[in-house]
Amino acid sequence: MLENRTKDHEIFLTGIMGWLNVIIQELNKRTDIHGRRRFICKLDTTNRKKHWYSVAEKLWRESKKEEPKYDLKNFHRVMTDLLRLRVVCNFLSDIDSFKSALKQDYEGDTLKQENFLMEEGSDAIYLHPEERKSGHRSIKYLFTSKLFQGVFLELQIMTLFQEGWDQKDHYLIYEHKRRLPGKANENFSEYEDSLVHDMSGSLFVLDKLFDTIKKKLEEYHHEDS
Amino acid sequence: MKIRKLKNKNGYILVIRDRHDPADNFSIFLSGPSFDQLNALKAVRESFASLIKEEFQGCLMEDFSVGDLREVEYELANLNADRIFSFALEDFFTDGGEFVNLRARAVLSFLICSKEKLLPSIRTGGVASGSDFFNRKQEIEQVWEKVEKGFNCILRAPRRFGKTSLAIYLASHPKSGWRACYVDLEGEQSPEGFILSILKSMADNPDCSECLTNGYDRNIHTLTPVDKQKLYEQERENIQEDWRAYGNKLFKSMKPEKGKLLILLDEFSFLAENILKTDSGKERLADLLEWFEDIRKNQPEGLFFLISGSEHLPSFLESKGIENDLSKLSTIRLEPFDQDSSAHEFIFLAMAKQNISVSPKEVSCILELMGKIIPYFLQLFLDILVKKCRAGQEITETQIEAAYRRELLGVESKRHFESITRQLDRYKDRGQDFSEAAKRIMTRLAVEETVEKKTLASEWAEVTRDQESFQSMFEIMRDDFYLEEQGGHVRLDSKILKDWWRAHMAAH
Repeated sequence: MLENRTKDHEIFLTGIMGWLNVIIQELNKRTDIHGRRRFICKLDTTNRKKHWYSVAEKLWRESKKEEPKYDLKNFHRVMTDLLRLRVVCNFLSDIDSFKSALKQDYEGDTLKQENFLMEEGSDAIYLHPEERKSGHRSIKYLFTSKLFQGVFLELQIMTLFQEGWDQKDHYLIYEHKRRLPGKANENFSEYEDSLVHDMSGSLFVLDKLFDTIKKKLEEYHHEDS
Repeated sequence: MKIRKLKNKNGYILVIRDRHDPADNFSIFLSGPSFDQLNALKAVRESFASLIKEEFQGCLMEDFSVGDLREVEYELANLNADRIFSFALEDFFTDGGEFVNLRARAVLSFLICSKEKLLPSIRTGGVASGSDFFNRKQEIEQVWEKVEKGFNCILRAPRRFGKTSLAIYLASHPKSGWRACYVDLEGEQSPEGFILSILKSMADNPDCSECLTNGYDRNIHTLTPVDKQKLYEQERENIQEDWRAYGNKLFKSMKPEKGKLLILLDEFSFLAENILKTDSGKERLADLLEWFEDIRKNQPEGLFFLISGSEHLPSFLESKGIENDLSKLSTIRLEPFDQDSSAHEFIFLAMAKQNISVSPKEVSCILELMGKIIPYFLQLFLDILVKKCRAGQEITETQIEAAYRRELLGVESKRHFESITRQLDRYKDRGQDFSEAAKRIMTRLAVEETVEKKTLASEWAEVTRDQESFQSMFEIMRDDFYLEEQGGHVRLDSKILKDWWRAHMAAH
């Protein structure tokens, strides 16, 4: 059922993946200090379409609400996170580089503007943990296809550290919490929960420190040259 | 015509699976379409889906976006990674943006039928086998249908049409319940050689040697080459004592225990021509044909023959005064590739294998230049175009035309046309001036649209002073040089040969 209803989604996904790959290839061609290339970012296409099991769970949770936004009939045209891509960056400052390349490319290309809308969502990197929907610190974009009605794609941009954190958290905690929403506290104590958040915070601190060192080195090399 | 840029590892994949055996599958990968191509991608997906639904109901199609082609086999269950074929989206559209259904159908019908099949290679001059063997489905079905009904068959076609490739394909892909033995008669010059060739081919083929009874070792195929050679030497002596008696014994010994046995006698025309060149050749050939006719009349149960020979073999023999019943055999004609479908399909698929996109308009240009599509010449031309394309990344229609005139018909390709001049040399064996007379006829036909047959006969007589030999030589020339006779007029029915002759032979 999911496959048959998401044919247009697959096509839209193909277009967006192709575009993001071009931007990433261009960014990764840039040289850094010592005139050498380094890794800036990569596109992660795994889990790019929600598994039918996750869709079913989400539908079930939605059905419990007083005014469900979507149901079995229309979920594929309403849910905005059926498709997800992730861009994983090396440094925090690489996220800025990627964002500006993305914006520049989109705004300079009428074909893309005619094809889809690009909206920048909340910046969850600097958001207080309690205000973040997910544990990882990322920036989200929402792409809305104009060619295929009701086809959306969520783009997440995060650092390698946050990606690493998310891979572990997703398996250890997120999946369990989602499956047993009422029993979350029985499975995970406050202590474990806060520990996991702290780890995300620690990795963010590491990202900040690496960025400070990177900035300092770049300034030094700039003055030196 | 251009080299495809398939650098993008992301794109879209159509996985076509056998409905009953999902592990039997192949995939069409469309590399990284851009945003202006999303509607085209949708059209390709929908067209393939509807073709499969309507014409290939034994299959199912799944289609997905692909993040990284290198990882796709881990993402999709049972995907045959050796059978992922990359195409560019524009491969399936005309310059005006219309979807080319013929190309989608070509991909499906060529790849669906076999678990191992890949796209065809360009095989100039060689036998096309395996994936390179292209589009003779109808003829293959005809052969099995006829022999199943109990008919012996004759496969007729002029030179370079692919008779040998078809015969080898039939022998290596026998229909269920059949065994098939391919016998190459090229080079044989006697009835004795004919019998020994059949024995050797049977013995070398493990499937068929099992059918040999009455004193033959069923495990003959397991002998070492040295022991086999010794055996053949011994059998040669036995055959020479009395080839008829030996032949009778050999065919009687052929008893396929389960199913039936088809013996494919290839290059029968060469055998006939070679016997004719020997002392008392006419009598020996007549004897062989008469004896072989008797064999077929009384052939053991379950044994059938397919004779592969030139288009005009029966009439050639008649012109030599040799009675034969070959024209009474059930005939299967091998036609040239038809321009509207087979030739277009072959060019598209063979170029796809070379990673080259060729538009429908460019295909038309190639076909127009070549006229009647003789597989050998088509492959020759494609080979040249591939090299040119690789050198320059892209070639235009004007360059395709230039390649035809300067390269295909030019000095560089001379060796590929040597077989034509060799055939003329062969004519010298039949009469001192036969080669010269044939050249004169060909030159006339190369420069004129049609020539009256009686005019050609006069020219022949003028050069050879031998009017009687004209008809039999004319039959040979029809096969060698694609001559067509209609209403007393003759024309050279291959544009490429006509162009080549005008460029290289007419002046001499």
